[in-house]
Amino acid sequence: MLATSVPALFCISVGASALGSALGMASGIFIVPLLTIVAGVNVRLAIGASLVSVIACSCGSAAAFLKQRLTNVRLAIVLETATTFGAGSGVMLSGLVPAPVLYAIFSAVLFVSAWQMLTGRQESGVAGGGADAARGWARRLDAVYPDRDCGDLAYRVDRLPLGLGLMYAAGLLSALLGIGSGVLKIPAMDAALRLPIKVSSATSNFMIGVTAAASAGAYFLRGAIAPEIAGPVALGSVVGALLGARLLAFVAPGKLRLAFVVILVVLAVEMALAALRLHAGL
Amino acid sequence: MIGMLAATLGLSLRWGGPSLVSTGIMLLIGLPAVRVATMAVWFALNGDRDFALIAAGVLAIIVGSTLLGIGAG
Repeated sequence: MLATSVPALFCISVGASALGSALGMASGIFIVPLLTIVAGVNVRLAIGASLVSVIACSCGSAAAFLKQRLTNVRLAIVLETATTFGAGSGVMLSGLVPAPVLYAIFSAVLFVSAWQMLTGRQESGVAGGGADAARGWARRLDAVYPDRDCGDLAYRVDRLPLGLGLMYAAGLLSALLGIGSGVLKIPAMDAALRLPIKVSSATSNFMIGVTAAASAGAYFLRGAIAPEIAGPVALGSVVGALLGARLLAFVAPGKLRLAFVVILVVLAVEMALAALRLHAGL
Repeated sequence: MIGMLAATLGLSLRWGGPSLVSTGIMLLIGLPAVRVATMAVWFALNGDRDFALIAAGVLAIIVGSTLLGIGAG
């Protein structure tokens, strides 16, 4: 191990979480690569620590989104059936997937995240297709959210089965890689369910803690969460999330986005190389 | 309560750093499950039986994946 002292782990997670939260991403996408590449932490312990930090960040910010009436609680609990089921499947698989494969999957997720960030996130529109009568039970998930200019805006939830399928995959990735899996939740909510961006961000944030808890409990009882690593990482990521939100005020969003794309690609290449090194037994 | 939980899970609860951090992490991991349980009660109290059942189902999946996942590692 290279830098596993408590202050070093704390600083690494503050940096990773600040990077993530400045662009509305969960910290896990940065924490796992930084812990493994910079601190030399075993990938399975890094995944366990990252899951704890995801729960800490989700718990920290959920109340604010609820107060702003941006979180769709009914939709969240319906989608959580798929994410927690996916996380349960991920826990079962986690012991079977070799470390080089975990590195390779993580590298792919980082490349996809970089691509998503480069292309930007666009409002998919509130209106959806399909007659109200044909939507049946899904109509109960429709809601309103407050808009600064227009007051309360109504939105509807479309294509729920497709959203549930993507959420299952998101839960699986979350448990396998220790991430919030925004890389799948964002397309699921934006493109499949056609939710407004603010609602999808708040609802996703509300959900990631529950998804992570479905796998973190098993990891903890298995001994795959080391308190001496997870403790400073969780604390650092909460501090980093607060710093990251303020970072946006001082840096131009375009430059920030480009810098993060470069960081994501560098980490993706490093993770891919680590997968190859482990596979070759170097 | 904390002591009972810790003892059930085989943790020693000495007033020391590592065991205190372990207990904190365990409680943090349990927090989302408490949130789901609260939602189930809240939906039930508001007469929203469907969503109360869904929340109870999510809670069951969390508990199930935790218990099944221990052996899978």
